[in-house]
Amino acid sequence: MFQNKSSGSAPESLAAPSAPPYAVDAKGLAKTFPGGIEALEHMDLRLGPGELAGIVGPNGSGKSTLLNLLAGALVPTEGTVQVLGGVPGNAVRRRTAYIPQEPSLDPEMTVGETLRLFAVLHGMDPAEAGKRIHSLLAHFDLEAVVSRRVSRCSGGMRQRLHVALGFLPDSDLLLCDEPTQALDPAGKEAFWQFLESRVKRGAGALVTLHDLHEAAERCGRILMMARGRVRADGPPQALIDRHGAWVWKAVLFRPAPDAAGLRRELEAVPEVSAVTLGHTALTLRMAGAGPDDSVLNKILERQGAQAEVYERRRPDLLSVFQGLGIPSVGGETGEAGKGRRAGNGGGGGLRRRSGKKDSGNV
Amino acid sequence: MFDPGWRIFGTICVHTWKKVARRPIVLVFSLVQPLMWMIFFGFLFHRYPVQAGEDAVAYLDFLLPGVCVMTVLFGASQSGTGLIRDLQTGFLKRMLLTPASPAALLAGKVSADVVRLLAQGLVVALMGLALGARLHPRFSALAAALVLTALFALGYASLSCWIALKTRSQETMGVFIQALNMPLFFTSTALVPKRHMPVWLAGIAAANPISAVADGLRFALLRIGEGVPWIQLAAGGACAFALFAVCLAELGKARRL
Repeated sequence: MFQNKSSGSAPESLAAPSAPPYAVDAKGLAKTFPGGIEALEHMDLRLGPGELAGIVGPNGSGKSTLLNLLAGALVPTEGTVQVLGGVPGNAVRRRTAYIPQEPSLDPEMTVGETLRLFAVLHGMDPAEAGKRIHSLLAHFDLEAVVSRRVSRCSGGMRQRLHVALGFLPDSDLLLCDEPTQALDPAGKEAFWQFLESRVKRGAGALVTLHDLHEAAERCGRILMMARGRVRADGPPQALIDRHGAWVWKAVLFRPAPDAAGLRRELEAVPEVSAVTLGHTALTLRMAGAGPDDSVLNKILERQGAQAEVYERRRPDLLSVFQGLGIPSVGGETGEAGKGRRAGNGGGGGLRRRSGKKDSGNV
Repeated sequence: MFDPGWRIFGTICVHTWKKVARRPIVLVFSLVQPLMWMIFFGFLFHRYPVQAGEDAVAYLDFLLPGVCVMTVLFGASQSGTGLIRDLQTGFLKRMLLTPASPAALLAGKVSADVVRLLAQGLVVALMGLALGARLHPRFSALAAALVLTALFALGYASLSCWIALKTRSQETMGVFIQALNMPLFFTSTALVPKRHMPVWLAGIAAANPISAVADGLRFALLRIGEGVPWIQLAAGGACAFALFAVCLAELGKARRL
């Protein structure tokens, strides 16, 4: 009925003469849900074997929809997608591992039973499965709870088990949807070690993340998504060099009586490229490290505002989001250029087919 | 050489039984209900002349096969509730996204339920004997009666799973099951022989699959009526596997949205 995947290793299957050149090859991929909600808009994506890409973006930007389409859990509305040279679904299921966003476990089963069940479902050889389960239990620190029912495990333990299940079979493509969201540092490290080891052996991996530092540190390639589209794609440093900027932030204890005047004066500073002025917060995007704090403080004083600087941040992925005008994680909002108020470009999340299109630049 | 399909089937069977064993209260209550029916109905109607003369049969004896079928009917109707739990936790979808064949998954789950329901029916029969029922089994007819009971359980459990996959909610499924169970049970010969029914009801009872199962068991256990004809077994098998196929198609849809 099934070939036993575990008998062959991932790199061998990818290195074979008939191996596809891409782990993922999607063209014009789109998904519209009932009610006209467009989760994904005409996306082109290629992921090579041995490539690890992090997908970042606000909630509802289409990250999970993309992974579900690649895992064969959703059918695209438009476009074509090839996964490991085949159509997502039965033919490539045994070579693809998918870690869904929510811990999808049976509370009545024990940790060990869950791992053994999925080893059988993946068609693994019993001896090979035994070794793999032993290794996963050790790395994810689950040995002490192997006989405990899932319902009696802590949330962190459940997340470890949920993630560990994704590493049971040898897969040529790993699709991980926010796998580290509820993991402690040790659990995160175990996840990245397993993932990086698979990637080194030739597997492709797509990982959605909300932690931008983690994404920049771990992934050689970042896909920035907003409103169902990839807005930027490349190595983290290249994205930062292209779209990032120094960010200067201050808390306004007393707002300026003439907010428009303060904005005009700040915009007149040559190094300031964008101004976001709220009732209690002021954020500046700056070319280079920008002017000295004293220069900016003098402007604020002159305009009758009382403020305290709390951050002067080097260019990073968060500033890339802002540079692209994407309302981003951590509550900060994008700013596409001088004089444009935050959030004018609309949200980064799901929208209906008749909704306003994204006007930001890439 | 192991075949992963059979391994999956066997593993899902064991997994399903373990889940039942871990809910002993549910299992006990599923046996309390038939016990109450036998106590209340059996003794309330103990003077009811089911069959007079030399072949006289006490009502409790007559009732026992009917209550066994009721146990199978009510138990099979609950088969889908586990699927709803697995749908809600995302566990079912995760299983469906593995290379495992949905047919092996569904067959394992439903077969485990059929075996469990037959075992529950046996326990109910033993409880009936303990209450004083007298059986005169005809072992040559028992196999056909049990096969028909198993086919009924397979078909009805598949129907329950199909309703579960369609409704995806315990409450909605409960409404559907209630609407099916009660009319099916009370328009059958589980409680009363056909000849004691009004003509219109006897007509319905003749076409009711529960009547066929109850009558088949009565012939095998009490030597009254007629045995299960081959045509009935064939029709039962066709219906059961058709319902299984319908449920399997729905499970395939749950795999991809």
